[in-house]
Amino acid sequence: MRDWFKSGSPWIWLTAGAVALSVLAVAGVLALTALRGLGHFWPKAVAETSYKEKDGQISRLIGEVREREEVSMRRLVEAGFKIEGNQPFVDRLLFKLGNRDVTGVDFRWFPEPLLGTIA
Amino acid sequence: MWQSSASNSDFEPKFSLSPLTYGTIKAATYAMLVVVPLAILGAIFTGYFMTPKMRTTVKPTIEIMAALPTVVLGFLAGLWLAPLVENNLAGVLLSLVLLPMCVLLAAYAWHLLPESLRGLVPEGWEAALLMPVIALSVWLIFQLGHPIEASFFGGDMPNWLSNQLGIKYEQRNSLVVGIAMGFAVTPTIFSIAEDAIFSVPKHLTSGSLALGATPWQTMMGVVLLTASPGIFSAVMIGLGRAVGETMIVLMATGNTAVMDFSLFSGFRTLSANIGVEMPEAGVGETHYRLLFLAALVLFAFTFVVNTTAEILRQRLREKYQTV
Repeated sequence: MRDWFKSGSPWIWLTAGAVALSVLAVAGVLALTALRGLGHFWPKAVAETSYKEKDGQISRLIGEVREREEVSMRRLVEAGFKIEGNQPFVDRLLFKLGNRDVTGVDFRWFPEPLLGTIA
Repeated sequence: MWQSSASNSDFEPKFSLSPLTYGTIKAATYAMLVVVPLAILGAIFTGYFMTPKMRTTVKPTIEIMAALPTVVLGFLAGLWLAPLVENNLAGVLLSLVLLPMCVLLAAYAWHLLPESLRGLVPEGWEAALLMPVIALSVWLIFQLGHPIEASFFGGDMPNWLSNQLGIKYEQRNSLVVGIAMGFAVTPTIFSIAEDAIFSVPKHLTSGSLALGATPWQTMMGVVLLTASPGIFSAVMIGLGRAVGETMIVLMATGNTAVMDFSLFSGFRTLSANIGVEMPEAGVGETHYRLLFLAALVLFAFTFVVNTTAEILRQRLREKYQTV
């Protein structure tokens, strides 16, 4: 290992890493904008499920699942969601609801534990 | 302290340009911290070690980044990157530290492979080999991030930072701006520095290698010195771009004129300030004239930076002219 460091080749690899990272970053930004932008033209099938509102009412939910991410439980609890269990992170899903005239919003995040089975 | 006018705002509003100047310096500093290592290391590999075949595709690819409008970068940074960083803070901070180590580890593993396997990828293609390695390591580190936050930081590192350490975490902060500015400034520095390294005469490097120096010793002792004026001006042009950058800092910082150097707080730069306040200033009033003053300060800034850079570059050039 010592000889390997002396030969200087680790530093060459490190510089190679910088190039690789830069290229990945460019490709990543282009792919990100392309995916986000073009996804608009290929809508996914809608999902149907139920959702437990903050006041305990169960409502029916139909929409397109756009995104899923892990958020910390604390942020959700602070926002007023009543979620059972004490896991530090839960998933939440972004639904495209559309019909702004009926629902008021086009997109809305739903914490997964409050959703019913998704069909 | 003696003031010739009243201290309230009735007579004349009171303004200060120092928080904005501070913000400009802060933005440029964090941007350069991200960019300089990335761009210069990248330029070293591309200009000297990379095979010509790969270089013809890699160089234009990175230069494409310079063609990306900064509005797009600012938009991505503010709306996509800032929430992502907030949500995966441990992962992001960890990748800053662990990513170079992962690269070194992969390199060592490659070194341990039998000769027959290593022969499959000729020298100069290391960067291509590392791309999947880096993508995989970033993904792995992000997977580690949430469990680490859960077990050490109460499940939420931004919150832990503010409550336990008293470091206020803002979603749109210098870390996000540093990364986003990296996209805007890296191609500039990379491109000029790479040209400088690539145009080092071959007889110098061949001579050094013939005398028994390793490729890395040749790089550090011969190539970098000869190319130093070019690399230096690359960094300075990049710095000029970072100081003048408007859209990214306007969209990805909170635009609050605070004066602290924390990585996790926002700032307001001179350029973003002009952009934000331009529609609010009435023609001819104090505010309007002050925006011009802000522009003048910004100009003075770049002027001083460029002049010192030019003087230093001339000195370096004279020094290494003989080689």
